[in-house]
Amino acid sequence: MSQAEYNERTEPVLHENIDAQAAAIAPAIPEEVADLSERAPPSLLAPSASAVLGQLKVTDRNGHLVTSRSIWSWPITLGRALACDVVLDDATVAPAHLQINRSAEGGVQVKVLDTINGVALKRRKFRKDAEFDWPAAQELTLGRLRIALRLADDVLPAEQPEPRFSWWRALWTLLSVVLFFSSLAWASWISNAQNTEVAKQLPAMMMMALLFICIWTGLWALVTRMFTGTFQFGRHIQIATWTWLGIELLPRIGYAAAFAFSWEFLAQQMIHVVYVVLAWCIFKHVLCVVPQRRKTVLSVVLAGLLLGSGTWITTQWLETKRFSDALYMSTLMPPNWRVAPAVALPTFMQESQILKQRLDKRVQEAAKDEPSDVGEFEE
Amino acid sequence: MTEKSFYRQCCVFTVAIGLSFAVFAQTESAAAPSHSAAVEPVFSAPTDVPLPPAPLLSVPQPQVTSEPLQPQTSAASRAAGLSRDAQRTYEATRDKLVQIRTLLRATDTQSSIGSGFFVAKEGLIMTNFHVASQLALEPERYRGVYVAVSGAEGEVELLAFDVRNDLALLRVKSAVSLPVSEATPVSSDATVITQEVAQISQDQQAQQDPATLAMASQPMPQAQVVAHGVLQFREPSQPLAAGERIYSMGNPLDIGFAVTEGTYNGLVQRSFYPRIFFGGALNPGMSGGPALDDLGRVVGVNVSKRLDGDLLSFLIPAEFAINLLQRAATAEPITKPAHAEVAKQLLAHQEVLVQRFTQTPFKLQNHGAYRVPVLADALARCWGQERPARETSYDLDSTDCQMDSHLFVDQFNTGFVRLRYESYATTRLDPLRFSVLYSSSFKNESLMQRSNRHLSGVECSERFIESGGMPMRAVVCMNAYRKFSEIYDLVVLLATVNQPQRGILARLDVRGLSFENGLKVAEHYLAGFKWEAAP
Repeated sequence: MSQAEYNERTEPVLHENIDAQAAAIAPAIPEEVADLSERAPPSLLAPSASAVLGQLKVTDRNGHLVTSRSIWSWPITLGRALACDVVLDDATVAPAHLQINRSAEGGVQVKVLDTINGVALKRRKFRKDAEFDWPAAQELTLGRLRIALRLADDVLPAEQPEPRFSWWRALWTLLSVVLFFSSLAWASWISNAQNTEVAKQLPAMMMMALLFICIWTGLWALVTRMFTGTFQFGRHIQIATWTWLGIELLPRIGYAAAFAFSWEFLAQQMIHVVYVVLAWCIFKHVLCVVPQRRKTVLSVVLAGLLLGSGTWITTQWLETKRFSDALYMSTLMPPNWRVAPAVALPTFMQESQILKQRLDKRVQEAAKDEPSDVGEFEE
Repeated sequence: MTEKSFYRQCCVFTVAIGLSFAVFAQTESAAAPSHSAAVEPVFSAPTDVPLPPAPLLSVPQPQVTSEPLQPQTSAASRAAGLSRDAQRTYEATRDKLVQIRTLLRATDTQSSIGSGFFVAKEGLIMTNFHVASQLALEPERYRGVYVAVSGAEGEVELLAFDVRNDLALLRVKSAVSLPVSEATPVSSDATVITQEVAQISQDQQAQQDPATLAMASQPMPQAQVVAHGVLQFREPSQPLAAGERIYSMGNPLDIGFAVTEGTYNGLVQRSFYPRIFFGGALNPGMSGGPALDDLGRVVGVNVSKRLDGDLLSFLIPAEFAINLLQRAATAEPITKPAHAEVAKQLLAHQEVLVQRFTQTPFKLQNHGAYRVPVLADALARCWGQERPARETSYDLDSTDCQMDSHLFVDQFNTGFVRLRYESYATTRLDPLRFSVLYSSSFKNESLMQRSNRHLSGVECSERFIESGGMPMRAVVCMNAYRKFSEIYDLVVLLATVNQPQRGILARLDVRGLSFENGLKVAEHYLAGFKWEAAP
């Protein structure tokens, strides 16, 4: 659009036929608003004279507000140039980036102007000179900015009550803490054959666990406060305690299943279950800090999980030419938990014939790695 | 926060998470079993189980300055309180003694030392296999030299060896048998050895007398000349009587040639191969040296001693040395690595071992209704321990058995059988708690995960098996020897899983087996466990 065209467009919009245009475009203005506009002193209404047609909110990718503008007339242009209706001071926005208008049907139309970055609606990108309908309650992306539009004729959502103390949430947090300490006590009891040893070790173990939880969740709460303005301490406690429960219980369940069904491979790979639980923990904690970046946080955590698991597997392979540090399934459960059948001894010995092939292969691989002396003869 | 700084922090965070997982896992792998800090690793070797005999090979050690070196004189022998017979024997035979040194070819530094003695006029020297094993297995890296009592040296070559009886036959390189003059001989078997074909100078011959002929103290300018005698063997048909004095000779710790007096105590009980129980002090460096009777005849060859006792030493009976000498006196020297021959001898040994193991009935020990196979008294020594429930909340009985069939090969022991088992029983622990205790012991087993210079990493096969009237969890693991083809080490782990509050954990180790025999031994052992429930 040229400057002359722009002037021709804006001047009449600002000063002429405001009432007519307002009446035509905003027929659904609630009565009380309309009354308000009639009751207001004329000076306040001039030069637009009638109600706001809409509200345009511009935010950055983190959800922080950049600017918020009231819309008095259509169409409006957005861009970096000062002549635009809404000036967006960002280098990724074109001088005249897009134009927003109401259609005859009452929808909102967007026309992409002279821009190389285009306009994105969800996953779809619109390039220069494209036109599209802007659905309600969805954001457009211009460069590094996002815009949301609320029309005057949109139905306002009901007022939300202020966040209050939730007894349910508190009970849930309390429950998770109780379960955490219970699992500590249970793990100590089940792992110690001597009751006196349990009694001796438990208080110190509880204190250490409490200290660890407080430090861990405290740090997260501080970080959350920095980013969101609230501590969310209870939420972090829930995440930490449930993580602990997951690390404690899930491997035990896995080992029990491995024993029951003689799934040796499962028993040898339980470390990855722990990794997944830790990844979930990090994800939940970070999501409290930056809730608006869910996908990014998830991607980062998954990448970290894959990197960690992959590094561990690779290290194992390089050192021992196997994918696990466990050579055999060593966790034994009460006999009546076993489901897998026991085979006859000759059958097992027949199956063990495969060892020769594997050993010969190891000897060949070790010969290729000569002269790497790994260490002394080990007992 | 700007976009750029946010993404920078995301990248740092991603890497931090990944590295944290990796470090966490490595820490978990290296940590001891975490669930049972209070449970002792009860599958460790009992402290009172006797150690296997230690070879008397001496590896060069830093000089110990606390004790003065013993001079190589009769006075020293008298100072040690030896009998006249010992002194006489020593004086008569010291010219037949040599020290055997293994040297690195590249640096000419010694790698190990032992002793030996001349057994034939062609310059044949008898010693232990473990003294000369590097000459057999890495002749390209090592060479052997002998050092006579006189100090003269010469190079030796390996002719043959007997791994099972730990013997090796060496020969002096370029040995020449020269006629012995009337003025010179100590015995009719005296031989003059020279590294270059050269005649003994007239001056030297004039200076030689019967007492000093064997000790040519000064090397010839152009050729090393050493005259020596030859030790005779005592006839096997003339056995020693228990308590007879015998004299062991050698060069302990490179200090100097010495004689040790002791008694003949017959053959070691339960030794896999016949070994003489010598009630005398043998020290490292004396390996391969002779043990003589009153008449200076060889009755045995020094081989090993017990580290957990005093004056508990062992000799290889002379008949095995005689056999080796007869077999290999004219053999060609070994110039290439002899792994195939060692493997062949190990396979022969394991055939005998497996045969005895499988054909000698187990002695069954009772633990409640469990019948646990233990090696018969004729085969092995077994030691037991008991920890009653009054000290803990569960009963623990353990037994450790070992067959005395060790063979020394390439700086480690093989060819032996060891088995251990532990019996757990409780009335105070519930089944789940007992299973955690039981598992922690079952887990606490050391196996060779990674390859090293001698062995490949381990491979395991496991299953629930039904045998002897009960289900069990069986694990069979094997390592392959890298340099000895078709030789393997076997480990069998077993845990009974038929009772909620009692069980047997067992481990069998057999070293140096063929693969087929390994599985045969494993099957024989696993079949030995029985459960005899009350009717």
